[in-house]
Order: sequence, then C-alpha cells, then structure tokens
Amino acid sequence: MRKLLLGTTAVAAAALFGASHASAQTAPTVRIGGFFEFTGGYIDDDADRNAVTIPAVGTNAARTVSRDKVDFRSDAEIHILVSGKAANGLTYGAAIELQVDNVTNSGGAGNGGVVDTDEMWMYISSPTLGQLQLGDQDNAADQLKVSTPGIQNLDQSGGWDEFTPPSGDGSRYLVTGINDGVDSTKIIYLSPQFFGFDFGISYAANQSEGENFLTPTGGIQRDGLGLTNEISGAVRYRGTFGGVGVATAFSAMRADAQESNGVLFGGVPVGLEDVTQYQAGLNLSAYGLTVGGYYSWGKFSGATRGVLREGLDNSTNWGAGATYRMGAFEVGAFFAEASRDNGTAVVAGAQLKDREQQLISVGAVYTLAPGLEMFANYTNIDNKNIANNATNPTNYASQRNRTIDVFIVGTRLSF
Amino acid sequence: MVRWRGNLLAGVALSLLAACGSLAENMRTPRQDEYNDDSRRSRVRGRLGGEDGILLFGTDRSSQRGTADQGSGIGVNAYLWRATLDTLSFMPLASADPFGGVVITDWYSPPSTNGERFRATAYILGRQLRSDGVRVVVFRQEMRNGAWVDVEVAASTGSELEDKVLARARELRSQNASN
Repeated sequence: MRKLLLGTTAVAAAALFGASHASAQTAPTVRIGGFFEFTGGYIDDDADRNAVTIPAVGTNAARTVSRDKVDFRSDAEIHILVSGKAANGLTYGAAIELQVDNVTNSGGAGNGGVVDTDEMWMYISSPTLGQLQLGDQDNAADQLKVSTPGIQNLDQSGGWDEFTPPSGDGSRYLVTGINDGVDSTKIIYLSPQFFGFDFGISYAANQSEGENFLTPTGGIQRDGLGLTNEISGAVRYRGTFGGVGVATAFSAMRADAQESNGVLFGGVPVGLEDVTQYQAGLNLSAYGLTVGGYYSWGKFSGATRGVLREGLDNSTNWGAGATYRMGAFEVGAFFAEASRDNGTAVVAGAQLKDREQQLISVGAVYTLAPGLEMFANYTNIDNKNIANNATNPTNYASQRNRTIDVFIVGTRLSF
Repeated sequence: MVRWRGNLLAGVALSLLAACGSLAENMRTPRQDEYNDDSRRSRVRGRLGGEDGILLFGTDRSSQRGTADQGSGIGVNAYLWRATLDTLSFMPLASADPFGGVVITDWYSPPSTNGERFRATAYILGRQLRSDGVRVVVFRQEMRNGAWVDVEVAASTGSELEDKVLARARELRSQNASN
C-alpha cells in the first residue's frame, strides 16, 4: 500500500511539476519551421496594355503586346528556431529565417533559386525586466503597431502586389503601416506589460543588414550613404471593457537622411529631409468581429522610408477595415489610401497634383487544418498622378493614372 | 501638524505598498506571438502537426506545459487526478490507476463512529478539466450483530465529495496559472 501511495504521489507530483512554469534551467530546443504558398492570380491592369515590346525581326516590324492576365506564383521560407531557459529564469532564443524571394537576382540565375536571409535575430527575455532582441528584426514601432485588421493575404501590401509591376515612381504599393526598419541590424527593447500597457524602443546605426561589412559598391556600411541612426518606439495598450477587446498603439520612428549634396530640382540642388513617420491605430473586437484602422504621417517617400526632398509636404497613409471569424471561416474587408506630395512644379501648364493610391479589398480564408489555409480575395487599386520619381517628382511618367483589379486564390501551409 | 504629516506619510506608504501588490498582479511578460510578425508563416492559424516547428534537438518542455490540462504523463486530467487524491487522502488508499482514472479507497471508520465505515470510488472521466469530469461513489456499512451490513448512502454525499474535488482542482489550476 505504501509503495502504491508513493507511486501514485510520484505520478501526481510529476504531472504537477510538468504543469508548472518552474524556473529551473531548460536545455535549449532547436526546431525547424516554415511555410509554403501557392497562389494563382487574375490581373486586369492598365499598365499591362501594350507593355511588352516584341523586337523587329527582318521585315517583321517591332510591335507591342499586352501582358497575360493569369499568373501563378510560389513562395517558401525555412525558419530555424532556438529557445531555451537559463537557471536564473531568463529565456533566450534565436530565429534564422531563410527565404526564397522568387525574383531575378544579381547572380543572374533568374529563377528565384537563390536562398537568402529574411529576419535573423536572437532574444534574451527576463520575466520582470522585459526582452532584448538583437539582429535583423523588425523595429519596435512595427512590432507594437496597431493597423487595419486583416486576414491571410488580404493586406495593403501583401497578396495583390506580388502580381503587378511597379509604377513609374518605382512603387507597387504605397499604403502601408509605419515602416518596419527593413531588417536593418538593430537593438530592440520590449517592456513587460503593466496594467495593459507595454512599450518598446529600437536603434539601428545604419540601414545595412546581416554581416555585410563591405557593400557591393566597395564601400562599407559606415559610409553613411544610406539612412543612419534609425530610432523607433511605440506605446501599446490592450485591454477588455465590457467584453470588447481594445488594442491601441502610437508608434514613431526617425532616421538621418543619407549623406548627399541633395537632388537637382529645377536645376538647383535641394537638400534631403531626415525621415520621420508616426502612426496611431485602434482595433476593437468582440464576438469574432474586429473593426479598426490607423492613420500614419511623416516625412517619408515611396512605400516605406524613402527620403523626401526639402519643400515637399508630409506623406500620409490611412486605412480602416473589419474582419469576422466564424469557426474555420474568416472574412475581411478594408479601404486604405496613401497620399504623397508631388511638389509645386508646373508641367505642361498645370501644377502637379498629389500622388494618390486607393485600395478597396474584400476576401475570405478557410482553415482546412491547423496550419493549412485556403484564401481568395479581390482588390481594386486606383493610382492617380504618378510622377517619375518619388524624391524629385518633376514630371509625370507616361502612365499618370493606373487602375488595377487583382483576384487571387491560393493556399498556404505552415509548420 | 507633525501627527498629520505622519499620518499622511503612513497613508502614502500604504498606498505605495498596495500599488506594489497591484503592480505585481497586473504585470506580465508578453509572449513572442503578441508582437506583429510580418512573416507569412506567422499569419496562418495553427501549425501542421500541432507544434510550432518540428523538433530537431532537445526535449520539448513547453508542450508538456501546454497540455497540462490534458494531463501530462498520465491518462486523465492532471488537476482532477491530484485533486481526487488530495480529497480522498483522509481514507486509506486501496488502488489508484492514473491511466484509467480510478481511485478506490479501503474501508475507513471515522474515530467518532466506530459502528460504521465508508469506502469511496472515484472515476476521472477524461482529459478535460470540466465540472462533469469526476464522479465519486460512496459505500457505507454498519456493524449489526457483529457483522458489517451495507447501508444506503445519501446521494448528496458523493456529489459533495465531487464538489470538493472540483474546488481543489480549480485551486491547483489557479496556482499553476499564477506561477
């Protein structure tokens, strides 16, 4: 009987110790994760019309044809994930993400067969002091931001844009939340959560990432020829009031513009502004429904954190949307708009108007199994007043206005 | 004036102490998945295989924590199992099967009533921590003419013991959650 009692007590104790968050040291684990995605797209784009030039051959003159409207794409990443716990209660780990960008690369392979790193970073986390992240990771402003609610591949800058070529100013999408620092190597601090509030701050010395000491052009990344001293931060609140979940955040970032003698505007050199961007967002959720939006503004150009020349007004982005989840189904929709100042130049007798992009998107996701989803969505993109260059928009590109309709359907699995 | 100031200081000190207690209760470390992650991998609900990645090296302790409600290492809910043992510990144990979820006590006579004895059998019915997850049956015998004779037991006796088991399981669960 005594043996039986001891035995059962041991079983129960083992169960309880297994269940508790003991602060004993835990040997690190190494995992491999990743995703694979296949997407089919139907694209109706003004810029596709007569966009491809077929060269002349003999007596056959050169001619133009339109791009095909149907395309497939595949994408994949492999992640190596390390996590462990020290005897003093600190948890630590690393994530190394290997991506296949599926684009023509400088190596010339052109088949997307080159693998490079996406984010790669490590962390040390204290149960009371917060978390330190080191490496090529998204900045604090991005990690804590609150934006338009979205579902799988229904995004301001995800899904639809993969099937479209850039506009004359080099951008496919303009509407995004506050920029994520584009994986430049940085130090990030994320605080514990107090009464629903947490905050974070990050610093990157320059915009280079990885172990890149020598740049492809022969300089080194401390040359200051890209953005430097990028600092970002955010304060976030999450709580529940009467059954309604509230998430709100204010994010901000700034960076010094690259060393330069400015850009020529009207034949005169004009300086570049340091980059700033701010964002305020709010999401409310209850009964499977989430509604919310954000407003972002600052001195930035293009899609993320390009520099503005002096004399241009602030850029703005905003979006509002909703998602609803019913078991394995999730539906969502949003509207978003970006505005960029095209300056005061007069071209062909008229002053340039602001560059604008508007998105309307609606879609659905069905979870076939944990980690396996199907998605379908439709996005209408309306571009107006496209200029030739985001920094120095002195005239329009040939395609001033451009309307795109993109319907995508696909599947993605995560492991 | 001095007394007034002393009271004020004591009040401030008490408020600070209260705030400290409150701070500890309202402070937590966000999980890694509570931050925005632009990775396409992170935007899928769940993971194939149920775990976040395929384990290559090391022992997965976190999944044992994650499945505590389902009972790690035993066949039934760990909290209900431990709570049943705790609740019936005032009686001698005759048999306990952690995989089948059965606890059987030996006969037990309370010191105050030597003429009667009790025996209990508890069944833990599953891996979930839920109110109908445990069933307790109590048997009672009385000494009559030198022999033990079965006597009917009030139906509420078993359900009262079930309530005690559930209360204890809740207590264990909350202790674990606060760790």
